[in-house]
Amino acid sequence: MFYDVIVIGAGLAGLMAAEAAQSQGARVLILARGMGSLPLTTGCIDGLGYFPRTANVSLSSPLSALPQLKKDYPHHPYAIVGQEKIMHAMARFQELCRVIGLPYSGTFNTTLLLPTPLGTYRPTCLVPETMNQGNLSIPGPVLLVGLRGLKDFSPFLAAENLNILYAQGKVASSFRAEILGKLDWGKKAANGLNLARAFDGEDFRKAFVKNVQPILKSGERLGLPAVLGFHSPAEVLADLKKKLQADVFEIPMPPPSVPGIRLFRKLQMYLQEKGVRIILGLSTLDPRQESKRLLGFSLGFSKKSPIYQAAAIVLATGKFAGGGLDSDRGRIFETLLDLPIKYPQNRREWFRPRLLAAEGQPFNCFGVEVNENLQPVDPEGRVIYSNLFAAGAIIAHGDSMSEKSGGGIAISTGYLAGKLAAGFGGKNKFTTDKNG
Amino acid sequence: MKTEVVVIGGGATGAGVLRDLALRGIEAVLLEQEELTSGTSGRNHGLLHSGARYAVNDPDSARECLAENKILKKIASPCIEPMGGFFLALPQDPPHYADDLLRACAGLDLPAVEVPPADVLQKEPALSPKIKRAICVPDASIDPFRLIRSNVEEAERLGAKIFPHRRVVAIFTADGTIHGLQAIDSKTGEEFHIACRFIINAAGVWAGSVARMAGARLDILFSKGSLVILNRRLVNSVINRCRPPSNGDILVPHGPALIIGTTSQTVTAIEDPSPEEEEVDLLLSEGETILPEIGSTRAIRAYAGVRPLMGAREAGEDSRKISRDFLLLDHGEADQIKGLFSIVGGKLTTYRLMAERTVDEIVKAMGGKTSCTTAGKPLPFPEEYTFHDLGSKLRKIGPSKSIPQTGEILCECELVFREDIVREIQNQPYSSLKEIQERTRAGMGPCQGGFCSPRLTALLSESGKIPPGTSLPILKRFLEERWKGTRPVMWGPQLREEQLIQALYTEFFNLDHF
Repeated sequence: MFYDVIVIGAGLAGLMAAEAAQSQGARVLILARGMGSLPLTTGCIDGLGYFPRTANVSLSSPLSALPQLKKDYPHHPYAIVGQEKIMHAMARFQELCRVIGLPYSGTFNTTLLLPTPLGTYRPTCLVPETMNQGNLSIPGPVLLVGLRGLKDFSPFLAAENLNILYAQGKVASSFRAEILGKLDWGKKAANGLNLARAFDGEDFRKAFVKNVQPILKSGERLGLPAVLGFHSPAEVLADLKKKLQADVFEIPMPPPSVPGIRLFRKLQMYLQEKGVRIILGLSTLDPRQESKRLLGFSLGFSKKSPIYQAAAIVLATGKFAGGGLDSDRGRIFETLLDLPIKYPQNRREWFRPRLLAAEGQPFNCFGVEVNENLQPVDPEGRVIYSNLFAAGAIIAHGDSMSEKSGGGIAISTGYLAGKLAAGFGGKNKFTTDKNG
Repeated sequence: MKTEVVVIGGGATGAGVLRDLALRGIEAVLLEQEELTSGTSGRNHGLLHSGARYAVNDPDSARECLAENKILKKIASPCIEPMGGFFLALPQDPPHYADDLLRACAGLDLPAVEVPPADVLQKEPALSPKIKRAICVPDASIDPFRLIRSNVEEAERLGAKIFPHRRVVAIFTADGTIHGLQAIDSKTGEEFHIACRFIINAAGVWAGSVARMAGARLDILFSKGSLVILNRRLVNSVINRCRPPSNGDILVPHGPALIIGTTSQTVTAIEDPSPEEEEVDLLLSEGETILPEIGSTRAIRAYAGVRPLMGAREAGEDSRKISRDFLLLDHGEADQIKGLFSIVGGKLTTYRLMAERTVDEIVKAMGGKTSCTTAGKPLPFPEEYTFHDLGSKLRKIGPSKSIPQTGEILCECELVFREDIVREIQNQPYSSLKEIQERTRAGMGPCQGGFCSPRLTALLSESGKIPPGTSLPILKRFLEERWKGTRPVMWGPQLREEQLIQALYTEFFNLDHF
């Protein structure tokens, strides 16, 4: 089976690469071990929250920091992609999200501060419209409402800590907390997914509104855990706003994250409609190569295992959490192609003694080295496979955790890698006389 | 405050002494600078020795262990898993040691029986097939946290008082006789005076500095031992290497986990001992030689304890050669300070005996005659207590569809319910997540509290028992402590999960900027 581009990985970088390649007319296949890492993310697209990483205050604009970042970290994924293409990629992402019915607001030129369930704030950049009113620079009172049984959201803890920030003048919104106990979402366990599905139903929303109305004061915005609908959050949000006559917003929750899952599902469906083939849940991917070119992958080690071939490959497998990197007691390795990874020999140096050190943990920066075309290179800077491009967290030198840059890196490198791979595939199409 | 006896130290020895005093009707107060089991008593193998480990080099210790092993199996059976153990010789181990061990055990009436290696492999198929000889001994695992709490709880019921977070800063004497001490509440900074006639110094590695406060002399050698916890049990017996004591030669299964220890390193710093990457690697490679599956099993945490050892002046390089026997010192004789007794050294297995001997001395000094009853009286255990047995919790939960909506599981690794944690928080003035964890086992599983600690923080905050604005510092302190234990075992699946957990705290909660 022949494709122009095979994308390995179904996280945000992989999906963006597939979209970028597909929109250039390439036939695209996505192969992934799991369902990608979007369900593990907030659903927000972080741009660049802190630069330098140790800065006390978050950046007001990721865009404005790019020239300095390029000087200080010439190998950083943002430095490699460059400002112009980053902006194109972001615009493309926002357009795509409008098309799939999950509109995002914000720009790469501004930082938004959103509340977290711990009552801290996090700097981010593009946010689902369901989270818009959570922007902590909007003045006025907020009522946080929790749902009994939803264990990762304590409105009391969040309100207490956010009010400390309010008193310090660091946020403009003030907070009050209530918890609802009596709602019925069937006999299912109280987790984000079950609640989101319940919110899709109008009867549940009616009951919810009836419980909230008496406790919501006029002029208050209503902050809820991010469970407002699994299929149709825009509809759920509009309905709640209308019924309550108040602004309503979602607060991102720890994984599994409903907004992340929504984005994954809608992007997946969109790509499939456009003809992209997606195969998830693969346990084995056996690469096939000849000299300095990757031919494709066999889904298993037997002779009968299907082989998928492509002119170009995008590697978007993530770091450790995504499965792109792995380690043993003294070694770090890239899991699919054993690409070279730079890391200190002494395991102690993979980490810092303090966990929450603002400069970040060294291991979060490990990854493959790439050239200006996102092609993995060896320590001498030579391209390893002529038709291989890397995207997302697998690329070294970005630290999404301390920089708060994960979504932006995924989108911009995914977009660029997808385009480059499609361009490469266009010039080097398989001739169909090779065994079919 | 006024009392008869003050016990300093909330480890096994102090808890045992407090119970013994209370059972003999002697008024007593226990002061602990941190929490019960914060020191060495909470940082060991959780091994109830049969005595065989000491039979060759230290027969006195072995004899005491054997006797106490039998007593504790009677009075503390709920917190003991009497699984039995083996001494196993590999081809590279000194061939004479097995014979030495058998001979020494025979001399002590210690039931050590040589069994064919094939029989052991049938019982424990994960062991290395290279085993040459195997000796079966009555080792067991023991839950030190529960054991010590049961001692303290019984003492409290009989009128004794316990004060955690009280650091002793001065001991007062007049005419060479103890008459009181001063402590500081480490949470509030408040001073705390107690008038008393006797002080029992059971401060473990800190015993030397306590003795010095009274002007007495007590020299202790410090030996750091590191241990690693694996998230699978792998064996159902305590496994000892059949060779002179060395690194990584004891493996103890505990509930669903396996503990490998220890190292032995002479140290001078005793506060906050941390395991090092090199020690972890050493323990695992030693462990692998006898139990090859260790290499492919997830290590979930490493920790270290400091042993207080006697005989510092005679000690050579290797602190394992020093007797682990305990020392009971009457400073009235040694330093002309009447009323001060130090009890140091020993082992978790012999804590009760150490307490008995100590309280005998106190009673003698008081001119009384009451005798010790701790060996015959079972310790109290709460009805719901089980020796961290995951199976019983699963049975309690039943099939997934029967989970009631109120029955929220806050710690998925160890199946701890919200109700269990709320109850604990209501009962105690907690100020750290670690204390809640030790009592409920929340956060003791493979993710080491990575996912449930924000939930615990929320419950603590909602309980109103911590001042506003302290919840994030409490969570951060917990995470930094956790990192000390998880960092040395960070590779493979553990590192993979850790990246997700760190993303939660940094990328998501942005705690690195709070």
